[in-house]
Amino acid sequence: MIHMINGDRTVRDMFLLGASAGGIKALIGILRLLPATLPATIGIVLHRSPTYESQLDGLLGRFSALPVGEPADGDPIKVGQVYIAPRDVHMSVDDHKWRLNRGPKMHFLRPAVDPLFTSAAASHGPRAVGVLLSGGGSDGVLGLLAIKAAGGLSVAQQPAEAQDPSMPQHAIAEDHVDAILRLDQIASLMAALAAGESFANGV
Amino acid sequence: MHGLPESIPRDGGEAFTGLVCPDCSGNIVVSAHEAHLSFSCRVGHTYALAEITMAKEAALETVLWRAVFSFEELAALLADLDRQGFADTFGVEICRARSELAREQASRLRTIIETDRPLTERRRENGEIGSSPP
Repeated sequence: MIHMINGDRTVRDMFLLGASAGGIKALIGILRLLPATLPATIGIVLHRSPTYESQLDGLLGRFSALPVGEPADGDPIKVGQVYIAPRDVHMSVDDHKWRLNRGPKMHFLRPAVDPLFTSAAASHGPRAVGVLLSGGGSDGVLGLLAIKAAGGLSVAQQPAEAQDPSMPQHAIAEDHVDAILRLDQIASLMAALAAGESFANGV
Repeated sequence: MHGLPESIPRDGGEAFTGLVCPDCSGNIVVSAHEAHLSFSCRVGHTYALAEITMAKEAALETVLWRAVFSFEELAALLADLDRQGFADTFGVEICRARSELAREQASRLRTIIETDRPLTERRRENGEIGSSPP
């Protein structure tokens, strides 16, 4: 059965990706398929150690045609750029700027997915697309609900494909997501949405 | 004493629980968002249902180990007082008896911890997780 996503051809160009255990593989699986010309912004929260200085942006950047970097507080949000939340701060969207803060932990985590998703829902409305990838726990579920309530789209990675299916399973069970897709399908969906095209799911 | 309020608002509103925040001990409110229950404290620490439940399980083990430590610490102190000739402050026999009892209590608590069976989140074969709303 074919289900049409974005049938009204809304341009959706603010992609928010949340991931935890198994998330690096999932993120690489998407980023490596995105064109350098993608007319969109990608914000990523990957659950990570608050104390360990990992080079996540460098690692992901090796697999991405789009530049990948950690923003500083107040940096402008640019199109054609992948932003990943630095360690030990929540990353959120405020108007056209990135905001980083050491606010209260959510789900015992900082950075957490929910602050990114909920702030993007408030600032970008229907342009926001939340994607929950491999990981454990239910961080991101509230954020996906906020994105949907603001007219955006919510997507979960196909649990059978995820190294840790818990996060996408929570999203599916509690959010009634708009689509459950494999990584390659998510990349295709992102390209379609950024171009204001509909996407046929189920083919 | 109650854990959850009599009823949880279905309109996204918040209701006070009988719980305290695992991170700051502040009062916790609960709200329902479709099938998702969200628990948060005054400062903004936020938890899903399974997270706050398992945090309570973890807190229980933590305080029990503290109790084990306290009994073992006391037993060691009293034994050393006796060995070094300072037990007369309490009476030598009383001091020895208390040291032995403290060691036994620590052992009982260890057994309680080791035989306890904390909850873990149920994973369902059909891909669903967690509870459904009533």
